[in-house]
Amino acid sequence: MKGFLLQTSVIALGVFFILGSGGPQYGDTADDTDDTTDTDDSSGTTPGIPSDFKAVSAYEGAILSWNSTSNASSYELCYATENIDSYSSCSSYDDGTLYSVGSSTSVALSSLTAGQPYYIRVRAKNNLGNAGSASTNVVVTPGLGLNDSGITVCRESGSVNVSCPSTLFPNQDAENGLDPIATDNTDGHAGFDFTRLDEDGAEAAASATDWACAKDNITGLIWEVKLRTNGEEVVGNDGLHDADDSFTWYSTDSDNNAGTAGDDNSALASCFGYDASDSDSYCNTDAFIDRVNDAAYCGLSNWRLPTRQELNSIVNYDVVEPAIDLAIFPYTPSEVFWSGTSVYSDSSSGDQAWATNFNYGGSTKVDKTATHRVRLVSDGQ
Amino acid sequence: MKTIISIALSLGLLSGVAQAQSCNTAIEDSTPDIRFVTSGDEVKDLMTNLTWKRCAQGQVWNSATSSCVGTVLSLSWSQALSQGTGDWRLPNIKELLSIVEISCSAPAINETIFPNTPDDYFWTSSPYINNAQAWLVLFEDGNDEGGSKSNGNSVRLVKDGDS
Repeated sequence: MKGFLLQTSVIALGVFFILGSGGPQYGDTADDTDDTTDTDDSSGTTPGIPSDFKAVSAYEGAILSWNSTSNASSYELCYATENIDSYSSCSSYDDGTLYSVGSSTSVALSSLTAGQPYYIRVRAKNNLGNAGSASTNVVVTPGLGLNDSGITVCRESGSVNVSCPSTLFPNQDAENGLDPIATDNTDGHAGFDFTRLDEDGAEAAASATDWACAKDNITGLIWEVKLRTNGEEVVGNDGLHDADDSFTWYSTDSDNNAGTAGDDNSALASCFGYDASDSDSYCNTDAFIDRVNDAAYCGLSNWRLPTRQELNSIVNYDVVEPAIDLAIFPYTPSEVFWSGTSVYSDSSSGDQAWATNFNYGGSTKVDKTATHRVRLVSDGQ
Repeated sequence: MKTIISIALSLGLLSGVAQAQSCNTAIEDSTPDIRFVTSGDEVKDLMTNLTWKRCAQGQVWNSATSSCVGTVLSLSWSQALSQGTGDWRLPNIKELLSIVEISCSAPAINETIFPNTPDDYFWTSSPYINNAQAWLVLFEDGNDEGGSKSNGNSVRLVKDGDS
């Protein structure tokens, strides 16, 4: 009986929508309690702000997505190379461009400039073309594709390096991509291409012995560089970015935590500034992100955990212990680093997150309550 | 157990593919459809500018059903490296990890783009630097690990987007 009632109400809703989309003559009673900015009932309901607007860096482009918005029949973007204060003045901003998406809630932008941060806002329109308010700016920096692996040697069946190419083992990693053609190792091993940044986000002097961040000129991402300037492997004695600090995985983002937030205050984690009476100082990934954003490290306030794939992008598979270029990322311990990506679970509680073991570069699934290292990433700004 | 299998068979659940993929909606998709531009048996990934074979080696593209049919080849590392012709080659570890769909399991891949992908180990072109193995990606869960170069594993080829 319950099923029958449900079915009936769905049919009734269907009729309602068909009538509702019929046009201006409909809606006198339904709209009266709605949006106060909607002065003309015959114009339909103005759509809300598209939620969960995300931009992911792509090859000379960006992949954008957002949640569908009630009363929306189409979506429209404004993107520019500076912050968009006023959506309606889109074209007045540097490289300001309006882009009609249609009814889809995702789009791939192409032909953007790699390495250039773009600011993007999205808004919804109803079937009469009336636009709702736009989202806030999201920032994304288009890249040039994947980083190469770093591998510069060929192998046959054993573990001895052989000259490339090998007849029996042809066309290996070392023979393709950026690694074999890169000539400059000062910007990173083989095909890697990083720019070292100081605490204000300016390019660090060539003579600098320490730097705060590293901009990846291929992926467009900016990475936190860890510090151990005091020369000792002591937790918290090098400030907020101490290479020796460890954290539990914690995120309340129910769209992306597989149902389990993790552990916000473990006795096993230890980090700079910890105070048991102050939850802002806890040694979990979420609180740490907030602290780095509050500090506007390298001039940036959109620091976050890297996805598993982003964290993998800085692995240098040509070396182990650690599997990273220490000339770009000094003091990196041969330890496990968290990604922000939860591990698939067939239940409503996903208790694990993906991490990368920088001892050798492999991925690993770890309980969110474990304590591991963190290297934050930013989309630029 | 017998009953369960016969019910599953009658529903067509066990016809050829061992089990159905499942995905977790509380994890962001890592490989949404919008990333890909398909062209028959090939697909270009807009995120990486790489072009992939939609079928594993051994499978054949069926354009009528937009699927991959046939038996996936099980190849040693030497055989896997030798599969590529022209611009096609074995992907390196970062390239192969880039098409893992992290929110899904069995297989951890976008099945619209890469239909009928087995939940198996796939070879990369990357040797393990500190031992005699080479890197594999397991598409059951998307994890990576080293494997003996003489073992038989699956292969999916890639080429640079501009080639």
